[in-house]
Amino acid sequence: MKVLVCEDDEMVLKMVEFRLQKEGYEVHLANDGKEAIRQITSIKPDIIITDIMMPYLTGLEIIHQVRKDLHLNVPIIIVSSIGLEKTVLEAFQLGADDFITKPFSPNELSVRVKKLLMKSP
Amino acid sequence: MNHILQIDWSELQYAVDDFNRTLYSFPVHIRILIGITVAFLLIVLFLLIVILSSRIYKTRRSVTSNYLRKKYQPVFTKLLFEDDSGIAAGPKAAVIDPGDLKTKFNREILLSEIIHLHENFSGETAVRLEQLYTDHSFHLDSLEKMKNKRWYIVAKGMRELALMNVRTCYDDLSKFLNHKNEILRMEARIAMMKLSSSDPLAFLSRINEPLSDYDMANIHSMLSKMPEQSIPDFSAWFNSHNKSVVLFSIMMTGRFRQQDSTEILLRMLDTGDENVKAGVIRALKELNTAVAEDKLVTMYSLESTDIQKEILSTLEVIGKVKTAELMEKILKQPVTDYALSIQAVRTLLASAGDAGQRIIQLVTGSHPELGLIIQHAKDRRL
Amino acid sequence: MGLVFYYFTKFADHFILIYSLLLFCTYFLLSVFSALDIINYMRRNSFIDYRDLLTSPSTPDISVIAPAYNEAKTIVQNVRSLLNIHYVNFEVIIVNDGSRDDTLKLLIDAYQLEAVPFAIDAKLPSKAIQAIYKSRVPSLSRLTVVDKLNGGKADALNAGINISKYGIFAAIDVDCILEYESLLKMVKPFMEQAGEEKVIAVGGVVRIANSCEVKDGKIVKVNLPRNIIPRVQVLEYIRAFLLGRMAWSRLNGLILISGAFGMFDKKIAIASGGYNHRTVGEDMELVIRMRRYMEEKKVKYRVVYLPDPLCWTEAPSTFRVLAKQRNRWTRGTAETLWLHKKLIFNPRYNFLGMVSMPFWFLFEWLAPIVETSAFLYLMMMAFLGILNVELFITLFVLIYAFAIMYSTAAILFEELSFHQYKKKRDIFRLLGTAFIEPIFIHPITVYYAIRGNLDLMTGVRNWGEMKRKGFVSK
Repeated sequence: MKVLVCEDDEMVLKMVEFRLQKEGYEVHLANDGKEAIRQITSIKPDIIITDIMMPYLTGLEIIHQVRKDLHLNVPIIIVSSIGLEKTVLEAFQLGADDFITKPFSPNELSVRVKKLLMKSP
Repeated sequence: MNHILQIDWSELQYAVDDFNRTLYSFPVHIRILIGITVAFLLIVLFLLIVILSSRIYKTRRSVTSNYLRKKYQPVFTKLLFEDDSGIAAGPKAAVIDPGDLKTKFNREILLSEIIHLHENFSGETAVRLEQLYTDHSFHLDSLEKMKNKRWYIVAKGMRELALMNVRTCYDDLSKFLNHKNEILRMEARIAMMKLSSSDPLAFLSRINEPLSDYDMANIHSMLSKMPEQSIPDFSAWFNSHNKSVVLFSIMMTGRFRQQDSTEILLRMLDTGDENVKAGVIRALKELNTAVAEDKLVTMYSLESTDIQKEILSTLEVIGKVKTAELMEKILKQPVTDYALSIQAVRTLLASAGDAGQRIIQLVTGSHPELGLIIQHAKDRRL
Repeated sequence: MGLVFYYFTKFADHFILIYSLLLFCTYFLLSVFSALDIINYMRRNSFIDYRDLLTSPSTPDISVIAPAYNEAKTIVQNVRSLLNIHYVNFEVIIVNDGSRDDTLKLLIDAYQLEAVPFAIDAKLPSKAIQAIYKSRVPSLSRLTVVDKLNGGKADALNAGINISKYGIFAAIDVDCILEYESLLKMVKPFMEQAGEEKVIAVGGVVRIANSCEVKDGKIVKVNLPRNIIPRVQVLEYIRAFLLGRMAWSRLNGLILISGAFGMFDKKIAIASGGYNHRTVGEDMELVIRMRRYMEEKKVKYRVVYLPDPLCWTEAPSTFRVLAKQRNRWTRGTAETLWLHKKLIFNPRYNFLGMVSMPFWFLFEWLAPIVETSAFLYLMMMAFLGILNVELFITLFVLIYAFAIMYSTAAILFEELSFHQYKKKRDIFRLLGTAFIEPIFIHPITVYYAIRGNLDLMTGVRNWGEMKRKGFVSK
């Protein structure tokens, strides 16, 4: 199973990578929005975990592009420090599957990833 | 051979004398100007030295911090996510090399790394980070900082202790609640919230200084990260002597949907204070208090334009029949404020549905601007 | 006759001397205040988590207004990066000021715009608005494009203010590169006001983007410009912003917020009459007018400046463009000072009248004129063979030393605070530039300033023609 993690904080990115690798996933990393889109088209991940505030493209725009332009059904989890109701609603309306606010528990993230992967075919 | 290296003192003396003679041959104002020029050049030299040493210091600092970060990133990862990381048992000091902890500089870098991670992670990972912090006596550093004379070091100490859950410092924090430095006040408040989950907002009754919007944003952001059961009933501060606390509590009542307070809020609509009134009306909107309609509709005509806009925007959410009647009345009057009229159309459509459409058709012709205003109002993008 | 001439030379010598010493003292004081303010800002800022502002219901909404005139080459990319700024609730209003190229068409195509009915509440005067466009795409709901008849930058900004939704507006140059956090940082002073003092405007530092690495409309690597013309301007900007305006901000006497990036309280901007389209110095003119309004209303207020590098702009890299820019700046300053001449040395306007305005008059506007006159005077004396050579040389060396000292201090501030030029070579080159600038580029900019003043005096008749051209596009 391929997981793509998009996050602009190097340290957090590495930690999440380690935690998910422990579950046996193949983890790919992206530092910014542009890189994320490039990886999504090239490696076709089974699930995407993304921050919102990132350079070049925000997480919300990534969802928009994945759903509208690339027509992909891949599950998307947002991990963001913005917990505003408005933002959460916007994310779900655009097609996010789950929303986690920072600070977050990596263990919880891993469970949510597992659950979403089981649901999707 | 020797005589080449020998300094001819008389020669030098002569040169100095010569220089002095030339210098003193100038009139006094020229000499002053020369003096200032020399002073300027000396300052330039001094500035150049500071620039260069700052460069060298910064480079060394970033080299060390990169080295430490590289070295400990895998160590931390392992410690935080390993199932049997031996965090409970085993020699603790083994995690961080004692050699790397000797200098204050290195300790600061490692500490900032731990803090940074803690800001991003919660749950067991966070607990492990806290343990790492106390195991290496970083908390002693932080406590020391709180005793410092410089405010920014005190603030830093407070922040670290609070983030790492060191409850023993709680009582010392309250000293800073009314400090003249607003950053210290802010850090003290946040620290107290973090350390007391049973009564996070205890400080609200003790502050005398007004809270700015930024302070409110800051407290709210902390609250929204807390478990629901620790959010207090904000109506407790509706009578606070600190007006900004009153405004904040009203706003939070709406934010956290504290329906039990609607009765009090409705009574507060009679206040003479515009800011409080606007806050209450906004909170009623968030609480979706349908019973507020009567009161808001009756008070509308006597209020200022700013309050009227708030009322209309709340009525858009809660309004029914009476609202529709009021909107019809407003729209039949001459247009004075575009934003108000646009909001009136939107409120009408929301409160009366199809009937609203019919009323709009009726009033469209009453004023020349109204046609465009209605079209504008119907486009929700605008 | 001889006696008159004697007193004239005596007077001139003393005037030059006293003026220079006064200038030194003023600038010295300014740099001290600046240093204090930057240190204080840096310390405070280390405790601020701007993410709090992203989640809070009390963070104000912002209207970003960017006039565009013949920007076809870059407009689509520029708008894209504006929409990407990290902020919760903001709108981006692009005002197409009657461009003659296909700026508007490119926007319509790229963002799937359609004309919408809009009830415009024209609180400020502006040229006729032809249409207002919104996008059909929901995720672009923040974007509004206004198409209006050409009326110049001030006129376009007024039109933007008229259709803006929110209580705070940011006026920006559309070709500027804004940092992601720029709006968050700029809005914070508005949120910090507690008590009586009202924040009416916030300005940001403008930095030079020439030779910097730009990727997708964002600065990824800061480099010192290779070309000497923009490199000298880097120095000028650091001096003006870090040493000058920060000090004025601390003293609460700031009267210029650069048109490239400023944030204003809309109610007060409208109440004081909005932008003045009769001057090319509309940015400075607005701040003075807003301050004047507050002084006359006797309300306590503040104009804040932030030292962070939040806005990057392309500086002129040829003498031709530089000449145009400086000419315009000079005219703007002169016109603004003239419009508000009543304030200069007027105690009714407190600090604004007694310090800020006189400073601007004496050391910003008058300095190039004094410099040129002094130069001409010395030439004349030399020609007559009665030049006081000692005084001339010492004074010249003194001024040169002062110029270097002031620039070095500016470089030090930059180094200790924001440390943008990371390469060691860059800092040496910047220091080198500080040594060359006073003799090589400075006389040229003084010349441009003099030309600006002359144009203003002689060009009254073709002023209207200039106006119709709108603002200078790059």
